[in-house]
Amino acid sequence: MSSPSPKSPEQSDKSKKYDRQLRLWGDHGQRLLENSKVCLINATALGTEILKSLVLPGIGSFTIVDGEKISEEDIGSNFFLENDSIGLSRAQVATQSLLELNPDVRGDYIDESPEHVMAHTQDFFNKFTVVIATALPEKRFSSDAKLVAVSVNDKSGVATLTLQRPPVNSLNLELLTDISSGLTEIEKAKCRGVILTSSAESVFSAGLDIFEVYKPNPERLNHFWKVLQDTWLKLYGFPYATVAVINGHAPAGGCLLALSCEYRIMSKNYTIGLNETQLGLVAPKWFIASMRNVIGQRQSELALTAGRLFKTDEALSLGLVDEVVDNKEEGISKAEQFLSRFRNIAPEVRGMTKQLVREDTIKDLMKTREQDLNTFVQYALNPKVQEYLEKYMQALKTKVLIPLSRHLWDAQVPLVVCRSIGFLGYIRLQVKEHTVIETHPDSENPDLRLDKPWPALKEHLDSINVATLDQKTRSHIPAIVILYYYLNKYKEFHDGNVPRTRAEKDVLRKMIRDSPIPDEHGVKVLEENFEEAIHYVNTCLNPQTIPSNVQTILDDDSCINLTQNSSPFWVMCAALRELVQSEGALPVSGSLPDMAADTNSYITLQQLYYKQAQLQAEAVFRRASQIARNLGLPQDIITESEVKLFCKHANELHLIRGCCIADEYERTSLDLTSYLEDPDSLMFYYITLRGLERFISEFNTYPGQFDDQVEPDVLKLKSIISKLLSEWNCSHALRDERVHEVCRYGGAELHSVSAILGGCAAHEVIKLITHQYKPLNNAFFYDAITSNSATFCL
Amino acid sequence: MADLLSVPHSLSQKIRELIPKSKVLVVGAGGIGCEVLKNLALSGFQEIEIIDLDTIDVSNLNRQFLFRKEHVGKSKAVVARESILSYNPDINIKAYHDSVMSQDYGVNFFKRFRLVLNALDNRAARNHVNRMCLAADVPLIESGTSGYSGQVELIKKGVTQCYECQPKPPQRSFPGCTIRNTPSEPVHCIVWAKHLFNQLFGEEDPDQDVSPDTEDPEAKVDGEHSVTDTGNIKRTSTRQWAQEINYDPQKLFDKFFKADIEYLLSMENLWKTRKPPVPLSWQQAASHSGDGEMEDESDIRTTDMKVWPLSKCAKVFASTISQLKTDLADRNFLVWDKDDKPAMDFVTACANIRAQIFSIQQKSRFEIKSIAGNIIPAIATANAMIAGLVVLHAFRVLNEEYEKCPAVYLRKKSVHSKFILAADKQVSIANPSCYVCSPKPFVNVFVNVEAMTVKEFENELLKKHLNMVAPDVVLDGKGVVVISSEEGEMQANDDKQLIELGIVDGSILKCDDFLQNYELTVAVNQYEAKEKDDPLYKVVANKDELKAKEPANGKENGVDNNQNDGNDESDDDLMLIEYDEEDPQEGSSSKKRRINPPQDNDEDDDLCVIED
Repeated sequence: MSSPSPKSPEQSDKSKKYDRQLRLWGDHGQRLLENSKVCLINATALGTEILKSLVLPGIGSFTIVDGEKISEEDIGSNFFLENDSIGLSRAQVATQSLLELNPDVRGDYIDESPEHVMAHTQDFFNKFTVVIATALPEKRFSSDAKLVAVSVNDKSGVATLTLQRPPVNSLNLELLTDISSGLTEIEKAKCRGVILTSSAESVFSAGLDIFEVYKPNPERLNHFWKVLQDTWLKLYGFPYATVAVINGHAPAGGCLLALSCEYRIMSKNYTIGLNETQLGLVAPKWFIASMRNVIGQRQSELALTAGRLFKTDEALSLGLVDEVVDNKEEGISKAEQFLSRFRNIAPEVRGMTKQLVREDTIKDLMKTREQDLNTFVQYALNPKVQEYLEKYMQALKTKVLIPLSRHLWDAQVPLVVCRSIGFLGYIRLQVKEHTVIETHPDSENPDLRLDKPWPALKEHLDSINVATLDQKTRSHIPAIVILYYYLNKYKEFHDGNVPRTRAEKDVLRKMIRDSPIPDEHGVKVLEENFEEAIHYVNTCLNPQTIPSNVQTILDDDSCINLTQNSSPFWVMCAALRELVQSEGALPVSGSLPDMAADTNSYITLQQLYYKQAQLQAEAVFRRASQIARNLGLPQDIITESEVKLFCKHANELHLIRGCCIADEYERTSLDLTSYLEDPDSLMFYYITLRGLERFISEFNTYPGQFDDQVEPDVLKLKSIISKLLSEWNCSHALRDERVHEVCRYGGAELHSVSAILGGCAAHEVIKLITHQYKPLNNAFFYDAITSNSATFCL
Repeated sequence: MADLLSVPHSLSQKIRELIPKSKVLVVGAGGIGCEVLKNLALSGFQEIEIIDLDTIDVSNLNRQFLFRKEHVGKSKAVVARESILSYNPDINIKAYHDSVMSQDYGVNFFKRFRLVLNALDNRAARNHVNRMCLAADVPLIESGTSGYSGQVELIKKGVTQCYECQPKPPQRSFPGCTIRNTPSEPVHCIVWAKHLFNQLFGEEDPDQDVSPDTEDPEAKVDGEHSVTDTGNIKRTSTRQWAQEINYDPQKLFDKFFKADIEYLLSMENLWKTRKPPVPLSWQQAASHSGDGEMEDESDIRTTDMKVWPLSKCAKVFASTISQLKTDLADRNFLVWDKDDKPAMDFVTACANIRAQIFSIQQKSRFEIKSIAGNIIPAIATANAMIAGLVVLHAFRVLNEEYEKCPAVYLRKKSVHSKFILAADKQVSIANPSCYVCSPKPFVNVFVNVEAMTVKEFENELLKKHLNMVAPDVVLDGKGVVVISSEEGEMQANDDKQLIELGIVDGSILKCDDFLQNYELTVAVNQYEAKEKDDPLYKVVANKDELKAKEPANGKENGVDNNQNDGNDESDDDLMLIEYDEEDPQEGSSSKKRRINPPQDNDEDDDLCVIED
C-alpha cells in the first residue's frame, strides 16, 4: 500500500526480507540457519558462489580460510573480487564483498592455507556447523611467505630459528634457502647460541621434500642438492652453540637437521631416524657421518641399514637425543639451560673447539662435493628409485583432504567438498550421521486411520448411520464419516477386507455414488461431500503401516542402545519405539484435510484427531524426558514442541549414515562394473576427477595448466587413470576424449558452471543446517556439456 | 575492441570470439535476472541491455544480490546496471526502467539483439516476449523458478517449440456468483475479502462487488428470480455508504456478515444441496468464545501460524478498519498489498469470518498471505542454478548449436530420482497447430455471441487470454472492422453484443496485433455456459484437442513424466498451479491434465490463484 504504515515487530524488515524462503523451511528452519557457522576453505569462484547463496538467506556467520593472494585469473571468474584487488588476500577481499550482501550475517577470515590452520590448530574446524571445501587437494606454496622465522632474545642472547613451511616442514629448495639465510642472519647478530625448532604441532621436519626428487627437473635437482649441502655445511660448522628442540616427528632429512646440532631435546611420543633405506634411497656419506658422530659406528650401522625410526624414549637410550620433555615450551627452556652452560666460556674458544671436533667430517664433504652431487642426481633419476618414490607418493597423496575429512568425521561436523573445472562439476557430502524430521515429501496422503480407528474415533464414527440421514443432514456430514460408513458396509460383504485394487475401490465408489435418495424426477443428485468421499477412496484407505525406512530407524542400534552422547533425535526415537510397540502403529499426524461439512461436525472430528495426536505426543514426550533423565542428560534437551513436531512427522523420519572421504580415497578396490556398462554414465567423471586429484597431488599443477604442457599432461593423466583403474581391479578404460577435455580446461573455472554448482552445494548445506528435506547422498556429478547430472553413493 | 582475455578459456575459440560482439537483452532484473547479469559479465559479454518495470522491495533482498537495503524503492534495472558496472566498468550496459510490453519496444528493438534472455515473473510478459522474438527471429532463452524447482528452455523460430505451443494451465478464476453467493473453499472467502477491501478502500471495480448476486443462474426458479429486485438493498455504492456511516465497524460488520447473509438465505434455491450459511452479528462475533480450544497449541510457531479465533477476527476487523480509514484520509484510494499489515490483517479477519459463516475451513494469517498475495517461495540457490544454465545455453546459441539446447529442469524431487538437473533428450518440436508460432495461426473460440460484448471479447479473450496488446479485428468476408487499436476509433462497438456486429457461430475473425507482428485467425463457435462452474468462454487451438486424450506433446522425449512439475513458474509473484502427486494405480499422467485443464473439474487440490 502506498501509505506508510506503522511497523509491528512481526512485520519487521527481517521477516519481510526472508518471507519467500520462510515458506520453504519455516521459522524454526530459519532459526537454525541464523545460528549456524559455516566455514569455507578457499574463496574460489565456486566457493564464493556457495557462500553467496548462504549469506543471502541469512546464515549466522562464516569464516573463510584461504592463504592465496588474488590472481588475474581469480578476477576473471569470481564476482566477489574486484579488479583492483590483485595481490591482496583472497580471504579478506571475498569476506568483505560477501558481508555487503546481508548486514545480518557476520563474517571473518584467516589468511592462511588450510594445511597451515590444520597443522596449528587441530580443532579449529570443529566449531563449525558445516565446513565447505573447494579446490582442496591442490597443493599451494606461497612464494612470498617466509619459510623460517628468526628471533633473537636480546637479554639472553639466544636466537631461535623456527621452521614454518606447512604442513610438515618438508625441506624443499625454498625452505633450505631460507634456513641458510636465517643462519647467516643469526651469525651477523653475534649471539650466544641458536635453537632450531618447528612451528608445526607434531612435526619437526618431515625431511627432504619428495617433490624435489620425484620426476624432477634436472637443473632444479642439481641446484636443490647443492643448497642442501650448503645448508648442512653451514649448520654443522656453525660457530655458535646449536640446539635442536624436536617438537615432533623428525624422519630422514628432519633427523639430519637435528643431528647437525650439538644438543637434541625431543618431545615425548614422536619418532626420529634416518629411514632412507625404507624409501628405497641410500643415505649419502655425510648423512651417515652425522649419525655416526653421535651414536657410534655400530648403532649407526644397525639403524641405517634397517632405515629405523626410533621412538623418543628409544632415541634417548641410544643417545640419539639428549633430553626428553613433555612439550615444546619445556624443550625451549631446557635448551636455554643447556646454552647457559657456556656462560663462563669465551665464545671464540668454544667455537674453535667445536670447529676442530667437526673439521674432518666437514672436510670429507667439501672434498667430494661434486662427486656427491653426481651420485645423488644419477641415483635420483634412476627409474627404480622413481618407482619407489611413486609408491611413497601414493601413500602421501591428498595430504590435506584426507586428514581434514577424518578429523571432521570424528568431530561429526559435516564436510562438503566441491570442485568446478571447465564443464565439469562435483559435490561430495560427508556426514557421519544426519537425521531429518521434516523431509517435506512431495505428496502427503491424509492420515485418517479409517481401517483401524482408535476407540474414541470408532465410537464417534459408528454413531452416525449415514444411510438413514435425512436429505439436509446428509449434505452436512464430513466426507470421512461417509467413507468410513461405506467402508464398513464394503467390509461386511468382503470378509472384513478393505478394498485394495482399483476394481475393488471402484466397488466402494459405486456404493457411495448410488447412495442418494432419488428426487421427485427419479434423479440421484450426489452431494458435494459425497463427491469428496469418492475422491478420498483413492488416497485414504491404504492400511496404516510403518514405512520400512522408519522401521529401520526404530531398529537402529542408536535407537536401542542409548548413551549419554545420544542426540535428542535418538532419545525421541527410543520413546517412539516404545509407543509403536504398545500401539502397533505410529502416532496419528493429527491434521484433517479441508472438507465440505458443517462447522460443528467438522470441528468434532478435527478435535478427535487433534486430541489423539496430542495424547500420543504427550506420551512420547513424557517417555523421552524420562529416558533423558535416566541417561543423565540435561532437562531441557527434550522440548515438548520438538516432540510434537517429531510425532507429527513420524512417518517421514529420515536417517543418513555417510561414508568418510578418507576411507573412500584409501580404499583399494572399487566395484564400478555396474556403473560403467553404460558408456554415458557420469561415473566416468568420478574416475576422471580422481585421476585429476592424483595428478594435482603428484605434479602440483592442474593438467594442461600451462599451454605448452597440454599434450604431455594428457599422457600423464591417462597413465594415472589407468593405474587407478587397475588398483580398483576395474577393467574398463576411459575414453580418450574425456581425458583430453579435462586437460583442455587447464584447471580453469567456468563461471556459469561454478554458479550452478554453487547454488546446488549451498542448497545441500541449507538442508544439512535446517535438518529439513533429504540431502543428496553422497556424490553429485554435473556435466555442463550435456546438462545432465547424477548422484552416486560412494 | 573486444577483450578476449575476459572470455573464459575453456570455451571454444569460435564462441570466445562471438561473446564480446554479441548484444544480448535480459528481460527482468529479479532473482534470475541478477544472476544472469552476473554470469554474462563474468563470461565476457560486453553489450548488455536490461529492462525491468519493477522497483526493489525488501522481500527481494534474500536473493536478488545486486541490490542492498538502501536501494529499496529504486529501479531494479538501473541499480542492477550500476552493481555490474562496479564489478567491471568496461561493460556496455543499458538499463530501461520500463515495461517490455510497452509500444516503445517493437520488433525492430528486438532485432538489434543476437539473443534475448527472459528472466520474467509473469505469463503475460513471457507470452509477449515470445511473440516479439518469433517476429524478430531472435533466439530466446526462457527460464523460471518456483521454490526448489526451475526450468530453462530455448525458443528459436523454426527449430523448437515456442512458449505458447503447449497450452498452459489457466490462471484460476472464480465465477462471480461463487465468490458472492456460494463460497465453498477458503480461497473463495479470501478473494471475497480482497474485493471487500477494494470496495471499502481501494479503486472501485464493479467486477469486485461483494454483495449478494441476484443474477445467479442457480437462484432462478424456472427462469424467474426467486426474489424480486426490490429486495436488493439500496443501489448506492458500498464505498459511499461506508463513508456515510463514517466506517463504523459494527455497522459494516452487520451489513456484510449478517444482513447480506440473511439476504442470501432468502435465495432458497441456492441451499437445496448446500448447507446454508449462518448470519453472524457483531454482537455474536465479538463475544464468541466457543472457539478457544485450539488456543493451547502453543507451538514453536508464531501467531502468524495459528488460526485466529472468531472474537480476534472481529477485533481485528474493527481495528484495521479504523487504521485503514485513517490511511485513506489523505488520498483517493489504497492499493491492497500483502506486506502492509493492516491490509493483510483485514483480509485475514474477513476471510475467516466469512469462512465461519459458510462452514469453510479457516486458515492462518500465514496461509492466507500465501494465497492472497500469490506468494511463490523463492530462494537464491534455485535462481543461481537456473541462471547458470541460461548462460551455458547462451554459449551454444551463439554458436548456433540449437539442437544442443534441450530443455533442462531443476527438480525438487532430486532424492528419489537421483537427478537434480535433468535435460530432455532433444529440443522440443513446435506444435504444428500452435496458435502463435505456426505459419498460419488459427484458434477456435467458444463464446456466447448473444451475451459477450465486444469489449469483453477484446479484454477477456484477446488481451487476457490470447495476450494481444493492441489488436485490430476485422470480420472476415464482410470487411467489418470490429475492434481497432486506434484509441476511440471503434468505441461505439464496445457495449454491443458480438451478434449485433454479425458475429455468429462459424464466423471468422482476422485479429492483428501490430506491435507483436502477429496475425491470428479466430473461428467463432457458439457456446453457452451450462454448469455453474463452466468458464465463460473457451479457447482451443486445435479442434482435435477437444476429444484427443493422447496429446501430441513435444516433451514426450523427456526423462520422465514428472519433469514438468511446477517448473513453468517463475521467480516472483505469479500464479502457480501445482498438481498433486498421482496415485500410480490410477495410471493417468499429469501431462494429460495439463493439456486439457479446463475440462478437468475433479481436481480440487491445485494451489489456487488470484490475479493481483
